[in-house]
Amino acid sequence: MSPNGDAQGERLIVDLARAGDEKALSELYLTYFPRVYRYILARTGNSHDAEDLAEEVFMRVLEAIERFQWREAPFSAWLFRIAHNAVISARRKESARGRSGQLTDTLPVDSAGPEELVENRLALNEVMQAAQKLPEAQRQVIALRFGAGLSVAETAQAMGKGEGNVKVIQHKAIAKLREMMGQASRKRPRTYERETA
Amino acid sequence: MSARRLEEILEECLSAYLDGRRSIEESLSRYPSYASELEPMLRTATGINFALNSYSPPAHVQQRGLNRFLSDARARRNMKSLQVGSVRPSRFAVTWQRYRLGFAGAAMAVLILAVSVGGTALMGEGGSNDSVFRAGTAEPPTPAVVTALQQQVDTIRTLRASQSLTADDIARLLAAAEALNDASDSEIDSARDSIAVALNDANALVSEIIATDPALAQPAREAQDKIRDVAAGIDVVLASPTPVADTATPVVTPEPTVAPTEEPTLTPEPTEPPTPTLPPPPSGTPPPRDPA
Repeated sequence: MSPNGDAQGERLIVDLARAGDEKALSELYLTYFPRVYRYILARTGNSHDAEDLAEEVFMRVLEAIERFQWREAPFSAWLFRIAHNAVISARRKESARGRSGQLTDTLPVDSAGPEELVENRLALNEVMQAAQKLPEAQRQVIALRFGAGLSVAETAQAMGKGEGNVKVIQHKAIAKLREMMGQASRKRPRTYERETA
Repeated sequence: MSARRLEEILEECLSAYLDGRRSIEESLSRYPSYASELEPMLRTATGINFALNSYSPPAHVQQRGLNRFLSDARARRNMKSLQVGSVRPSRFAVTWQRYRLGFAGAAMAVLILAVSVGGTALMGEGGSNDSVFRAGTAEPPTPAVVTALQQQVDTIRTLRASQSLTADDIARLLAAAEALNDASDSEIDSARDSIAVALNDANALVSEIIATDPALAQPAREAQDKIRDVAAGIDVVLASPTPVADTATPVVTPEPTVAPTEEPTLTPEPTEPPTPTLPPPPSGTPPPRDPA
């Protein structure tokens, strides 16, 4: 099942999962866990939070899946609303501690090769740091579009906004990220380029 | 150049790239008059996408989560079948079944004590089974404010069905929703999912009333505004109302005509586009959407 894949296939799997079918539950989990993880990573900037919260989101899914109704929203929009609520709850709990969102060296990177790994980690750190400075709605659109891989229509439903509104927010977010990352690159010596040259 | 048009084109090109239908270069050649603004935006967006999608959860974390997820699902299923499939025994029977050895031991102790010390020792053995009724743990109860809101939603549905709904009933629904403003943070956090469901139900219901009952549209509209305020105040996301009839497939909400909530004008592009330091995606050709 692809992120934007066959709606009927997904419907069947979701309905089976609601009835408790383990194979369907596994399939839903394996399809969405990486996307929920990346969504939370984009929201929090912290890989440990992303691991813990992604697990928690799926526990909440189990609690709520019987109440899921197709007419309200697609499954992905419903799921990422739960993920959003989990992030907000966690943020409330953690705000007193003032934890920072540092990525760890143990983050698994899909691409092979140490040079790419270094570049990707720096790139992700840069995206994370810039994204943390965005207004909430812009950060959420970036996380849903690029972390969760939702379409604009799905993002709109997950956020309870109109598609036109999401396009506006997306445009502003990308423009702001481009500006921030451009500034960061002018200030920072590009050591990793020398290392990998 | 219209900002609105640029947002539309950016999204169109971005979707085409992410779905693997077009490269950035192909998109730029399709919109040559927008190319200078479009290119840096597309490069940034695809760079962000590439950076985020370079990461996957560690395999052991995913496996651990899956095991926990499935075992929790199994436990829920077993619990449900027990609740549905069995005749509930009396409390005395359950208590006796669970603690019969304890009772037997206590009785034996009392007997020995009574024999050795005398009949007065029996007085000290009373109330020893208090813990029986504390055994077992229950899930934290849904806060009363949430239950009240759910009940109001159900009541209004019933009244609508019997065509006896009045503005006062909508006011009561609103009061139930606004009571959430007075709930404590811990109450909100412990029942966030139930609250989200209840508020979404209430929001959907007033949307239906607005769409179908002109006489009550005004109070319903006012109630909807306030319900949305309540939801925003406790960080609960409300779904876009879908006023169409129940359909077999998920409904994509049509694009509303309301103005965007953020600032209405675009920041002008810098004349010299800075180059983000994101490593470029492997090639100019569209990437696979999800490497996981």
